[in-house]
Amino acid sequence: MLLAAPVFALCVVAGVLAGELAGAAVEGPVRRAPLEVRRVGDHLPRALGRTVAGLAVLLLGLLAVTSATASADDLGRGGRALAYRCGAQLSGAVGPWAGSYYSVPLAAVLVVGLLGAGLALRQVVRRPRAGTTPAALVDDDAVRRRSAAAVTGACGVLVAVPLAGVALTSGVALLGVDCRAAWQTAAAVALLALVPVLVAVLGWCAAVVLPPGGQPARLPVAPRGPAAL
Amino acid sequence: MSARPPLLVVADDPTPPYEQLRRQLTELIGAGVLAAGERLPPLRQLAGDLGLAVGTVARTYRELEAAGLIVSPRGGGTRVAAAQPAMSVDRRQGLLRAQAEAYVRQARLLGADDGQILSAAQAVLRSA
Repeated sequence: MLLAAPVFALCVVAGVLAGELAGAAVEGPVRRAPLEVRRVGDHLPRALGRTVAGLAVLLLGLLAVTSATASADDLGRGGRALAYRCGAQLSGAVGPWAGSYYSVPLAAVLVVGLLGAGLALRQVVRRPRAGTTPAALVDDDAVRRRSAAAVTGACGVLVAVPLAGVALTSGVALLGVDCRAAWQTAAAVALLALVPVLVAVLGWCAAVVLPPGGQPARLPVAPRGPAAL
Repeated sequence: MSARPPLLVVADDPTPPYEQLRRQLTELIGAGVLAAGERLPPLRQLAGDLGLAVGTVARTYRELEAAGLIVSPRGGGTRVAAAQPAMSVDRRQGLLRAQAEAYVRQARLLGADDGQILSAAQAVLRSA
C-alpha cells in the first residue's frame, strides 16, 4: 500500500505531463498570443492545494522527528524502533518506528513525486494557447484547471497514504512505551486521530483525480500549417 | 480572458518576428493599452505561445528595454516602465494619417476607385 500510492501518484503526474507536452505544438503562418501572465497558482484548486501542502510539511516534519529519535531494533538493525528507558531497571524498544530505514526511502519518493508535480504544473501553464477567441480561452483554461487539479490530487495521494502509515505506526508505538510521559500519550492520540482525517483527504483526492463519470479533458486543437519559425 | 488584441506574428511576413513583436508592443504601450507597471508575459510563455525561440522574444524585450518602454527588475518579471510620455494629439493624428495613406496606396495598386476605397473602409468600421 505504501508503495502503491506513490506509484499511482507518479503515474498520474506522468500522464498529465505527457498530455500537456502532446498538446504543445504551435504551427501555422499566423500565430496569436494573448497578453496575459499565466501563473500556476491561478489554476490550482486552492483548498486542496493548501491542504496537500500542509500535509506534505507535516509528513516531512514527522519523518524528521521519527528519524532523529529512532534506534536499532532487537536484531540490531538501525532506524527501525523507538528505544525507551524507565529509570535504571526497565528499558525496551517498540516498533515499527519510522526511523531512517523507512523515512529515507519515503522522503526520497516524496521529493521525486513533488519535483515531478512541479514540472507538470510548469508545463500546464507554459503549454501554448490553442486559440485566442474568448470561447477558446475559456475551454483552454478549463483544461488547464483540470490538469492542475489532477496533479494536486495525485500529490495528495502521494502524501496522505505515507503520512497515514507513519501516523498509525508512530501512534501505536508510542502507546506501547510502558512509562510514557503525558505528552507522549497526547502525541499518540493526536497521531491516531489524524488517520481518519487522512482517509477523508484521500477520498477527496481520489474524487478530484478520478471524478465520477469523468471524461478525459479534450484539448482544443490548434490550427496547423507550415513549419515553425 | 482579455478583450485586448492578441499579439500576432505572421511567418510569411518579411519583417523578422522580433520586429513584429517590438512594433506591436510599442504601439500597445504608446496607446496606453498596456499601462505603466503592468507585467508582460514571461519570455518562455510568450515564445511558447507564438512558436518562437526564446531568444527571439528576448531580443524584442531587450530592444524595448533599451528604448525605455519596459523594465526588468530582478525577480519581478518584465513590466511596462513607470513613466510613459502620453501620445500627443498631433502625433496621434499623424499616425492615423500615415495609416490612411498606406491603405489608400494599397487600394490604388489594386485598382480601386474612391467609392470602392470608402465603402471598404466603411464595411470594416461596421464590422469592427
